[in-house]
Amino acid sequence: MPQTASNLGLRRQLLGAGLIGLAGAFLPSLASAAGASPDQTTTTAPPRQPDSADLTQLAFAQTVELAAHRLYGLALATDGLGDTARAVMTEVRAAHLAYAQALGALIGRTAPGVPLQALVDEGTAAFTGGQTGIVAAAADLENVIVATLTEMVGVMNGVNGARLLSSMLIAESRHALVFNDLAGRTEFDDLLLNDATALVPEEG
Amino acid sequence: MHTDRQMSALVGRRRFLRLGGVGVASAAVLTACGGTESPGIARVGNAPSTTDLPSAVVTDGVLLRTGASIERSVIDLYTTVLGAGLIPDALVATAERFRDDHTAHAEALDELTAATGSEPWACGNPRIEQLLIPSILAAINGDEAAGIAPSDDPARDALNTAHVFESLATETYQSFMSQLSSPALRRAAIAIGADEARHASLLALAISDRPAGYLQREAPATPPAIPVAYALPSRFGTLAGLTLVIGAEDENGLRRSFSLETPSLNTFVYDFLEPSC
Repeated sequence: MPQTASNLGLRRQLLGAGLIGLAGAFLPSLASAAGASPDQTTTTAPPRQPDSADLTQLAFAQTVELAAHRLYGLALATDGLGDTARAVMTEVRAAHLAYAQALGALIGRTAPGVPLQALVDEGTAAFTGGQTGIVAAAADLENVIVATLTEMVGVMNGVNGARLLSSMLIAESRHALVFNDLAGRTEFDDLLLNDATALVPEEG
Repeated sequence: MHTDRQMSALVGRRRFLRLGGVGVASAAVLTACGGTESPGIARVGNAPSTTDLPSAVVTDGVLLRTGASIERSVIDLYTTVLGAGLIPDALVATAERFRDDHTAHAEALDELTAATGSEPWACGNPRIEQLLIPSILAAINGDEAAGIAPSDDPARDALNTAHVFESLATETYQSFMSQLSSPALRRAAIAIGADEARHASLLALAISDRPAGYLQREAPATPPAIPVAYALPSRFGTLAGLTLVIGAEDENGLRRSFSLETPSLNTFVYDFLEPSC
């Protein structure tokens, strides 16, 4: 009887070995079918949420957008705008407010929520003159904002920030072209190129 | 002496033992049949050998090659419509300038592509050039063999086509923002996208005229049969699909409609694709 028990143990081991062998025969095929090829290129997905450096940039972008909103408000308060320029400027002003709100949603509680006063001060005279000066100043402002946001995309680690900034600067490029057109500029380089210098947040 | 119960147990154990043996033998046979080089599941018997599909990995290089391919498709499109005299005289210089800009964009993308380790792509986008552009040109110029009448206004259709492709290029670079791996590449891509947006807006003003082409001030009660191009089409840059309506009206008063969307898995120019231009 002890011998029978011993034989049973051996048989169980053989049976187990058979099943393991059977499974082992399939393992390489299964691994291959799952796409686990060792030479396959792998990529690391960029982070989605903004990091602290991104938040500094996004906060600055919000102050720029709110400054633009303020300047367009000053322009619309004048009585020198024609019907078409007023309609365009009303839409563009609303767009800048929407950008500031979207940035605020991404930044969260630390969003500044105030305009960049230096930009408002610098633009006030041009945005409160006659229509020709206002639309030319608006074109220049939009180009400055596009340059600023483009540079920000180039340092933005989080994808969500880059996506938002890119969707804004695409629309603002169109704003620039429309204001240049309203200003009577017809040269391709005036309409299509942007050689404006980007704004940067102050250190600290 | 074995009792009946012991016999029954032994028979059962023998069967199990045999099963185990069969398992070991099967494993050996399957492994031998499979060979060390076989990429698929091991099989018994004769079967044709299979070839692995190429690895379709979306890398930075693939995205940049795709961008360059779309630039070159747009260049080809401008060359075609300019050569066919479909662009009104007043806008020939504009179309030529846009074509030059696209050439500069394609070359810039080629440099970036090479820097990522991929091979620059010197052709148009295969899918767009095979499936889309021939159908668009047939709708404009007509195709007697296919029973397609020529357009009643080829110049209008050529400009609307150019506008839609400029808009597609804009959206393409915007869509890359969540796919490119580095901020520097994202910056380079969106700078090109911003240029394309200006092209699209200037074409919108040429198509829809001023001031109507600046922006939609009131939504019409019924949508126009041919979508109106606006210089300021939306408050944010969008990734929405684009609709191109061109060609002659059919017996029901309908024109041909094409839907364009940002590049996806079936439009990417993967590293394994070979240029054929």
